[in-house]
Amino acid sequence: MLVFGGNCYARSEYEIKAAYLYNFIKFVSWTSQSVEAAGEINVCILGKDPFQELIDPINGKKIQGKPIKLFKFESMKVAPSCTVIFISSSERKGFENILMTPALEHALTVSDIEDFAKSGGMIGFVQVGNVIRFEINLDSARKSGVDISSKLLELAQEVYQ
Amino acid sequence: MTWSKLPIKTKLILLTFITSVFGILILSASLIWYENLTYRQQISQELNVIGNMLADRSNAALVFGDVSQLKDNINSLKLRESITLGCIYNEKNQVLATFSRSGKLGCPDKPRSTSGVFEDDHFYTVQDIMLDGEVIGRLYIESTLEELRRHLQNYVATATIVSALAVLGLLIISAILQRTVTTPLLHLSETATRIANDKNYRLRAELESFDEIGELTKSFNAMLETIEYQNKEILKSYGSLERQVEIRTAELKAANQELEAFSYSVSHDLRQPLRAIDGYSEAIAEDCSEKLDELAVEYLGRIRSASGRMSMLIDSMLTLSRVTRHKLDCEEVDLSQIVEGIASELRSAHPNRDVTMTIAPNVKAKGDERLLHIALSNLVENAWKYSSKKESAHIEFGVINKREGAVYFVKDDGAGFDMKYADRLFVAFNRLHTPSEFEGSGIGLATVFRIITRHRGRIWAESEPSRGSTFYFTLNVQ
Repeated sequence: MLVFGGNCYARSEYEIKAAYLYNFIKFVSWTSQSVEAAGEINVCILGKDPFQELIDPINGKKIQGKPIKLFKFESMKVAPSCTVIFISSSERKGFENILMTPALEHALTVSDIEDFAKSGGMIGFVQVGNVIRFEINLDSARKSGVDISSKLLELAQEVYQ
Repeated sequence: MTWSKLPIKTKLILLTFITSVFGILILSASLIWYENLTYRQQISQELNVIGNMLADRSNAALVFGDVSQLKDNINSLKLRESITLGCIYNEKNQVLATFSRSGKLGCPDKPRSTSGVFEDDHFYTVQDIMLDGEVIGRLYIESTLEELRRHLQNYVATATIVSALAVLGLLIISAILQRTVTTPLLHLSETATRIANDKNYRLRAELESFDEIGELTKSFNAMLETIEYQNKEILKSYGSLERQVEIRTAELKAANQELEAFSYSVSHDLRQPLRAIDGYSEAIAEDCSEKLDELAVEYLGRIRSASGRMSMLIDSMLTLSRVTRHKLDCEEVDLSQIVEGIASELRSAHPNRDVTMTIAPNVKAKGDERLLHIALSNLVENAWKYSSKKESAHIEFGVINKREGAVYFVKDDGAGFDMKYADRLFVAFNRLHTPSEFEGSGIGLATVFRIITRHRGRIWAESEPSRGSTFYFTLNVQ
């Protein structure tokens, strides 16, 4: 089930983050009709791709019956309508502007940029010791019509209201 | 004590007891069985619900590897006291979080999904932890059955107490109710026993119920009615019968007395003219013999011998009638001595006869000496007489001791008689021999018969022509 195999060997940071990204989708739902009605889930990787081929296996996987389509691009100017967007740390400067982009109005935003959630993103990866955890900004999610499961909130390192 | 000997009352109570205990046992057993079943179903359902909820709550933590969250989740099982062990596995069956009430870890290696299994002392369920239709791990929950055991114990204890109370109540009720059945029966039985003991057929059983016992009582009373009526009839006819017997006896007695008086007076009065006939015949023979010719003297001799025979007949008849009228005077009599006396008389009367007499010594019997003397003389004289044609005769008197009593006998080896005439032997004037053969009145054995009968004895004879005869008799007076 886990796309990236078990945990019997030490997984790399992005291997884990790719799995998390994939699993986040399972605990999220969208209140927006247009997103819910869409036949597929577009997962976008913006900026310098830190996953490389590690993220590729999720392309075509189905979540709640919808197939995942993986898109990778450098700039928001060419970005399609994304259901989920991972903003690479290469976009650290001015990521707040990206979040304002109308194309991302209903998108679940994920990033490992520091204080991403605190600064208006929805889910931000954090490193606690050796373990990768995440923070959630519930307020941003609500504003965008993204409904995050309480189970996920329970696991979050920090929840910003 | 066997069942058939028990009183009906006890039987009824025992029947109620046995049936009620049987019924209550079956009822209790089925209730306990059902309770066990439903309680197990309840346990299974409850733990499955808990397991489902916990599995659903844990999928995120499992997928994001948040072991502390998993531990928090599994520790929530401690709220349910019967749960002793809980384990969360990932999809590779590695244990990630455990809850153990006792502190002992015993998570099974490779749990297989099940909605609940009951083992000897515990129950366990293994739930799949699902995420988006995929199995991402398993949850194992084990619960002790102590609670079920205690619950059933309480249940059994309660059932036992309630059953015991119910049986007790039933016993009391049946002890009261059985009276309605047994009381009329007991009364009927008492009445019947009293009637059987007292022979009082005027008693009646009281009608107390209108069931089969009531019918029995009615029939019983009807039977008593019949018996009473028949008793009255019997007593009535018995009374009239007795009266009739009395009348007949009185008539018979009068006739008998008349007959006796008649025969006595006849024989007595006959003597007088006979004595005259004999006397004058003798006088003619003595005084006028020279005037008579030889033929007349011979005829006179015949008249005299005929009158002598008649005198003997009259004597015998007198004896017979005396025997009948004589009052018995019983004492111990030495029969041997009597026979000795008779024998010596006979010897001196007939000195030219050769007769051997064998007389058993000391034969004694209770009876009237005079009558027994007459009877024995008749018997011995008969023996003497009927052996007179032999040159030397043998006569024997003795006793045979049999179980029913002494049998006396007089035996000779004389002429004897044909046994086909034996029934005429003791009838008066019935003679088996002609007077020309042997002299006799024909009354002797009738007299003997009457004497023995008066002694409540029996007399009979055994004989064979020309080989002698034996007369047996018994005596039966105290």
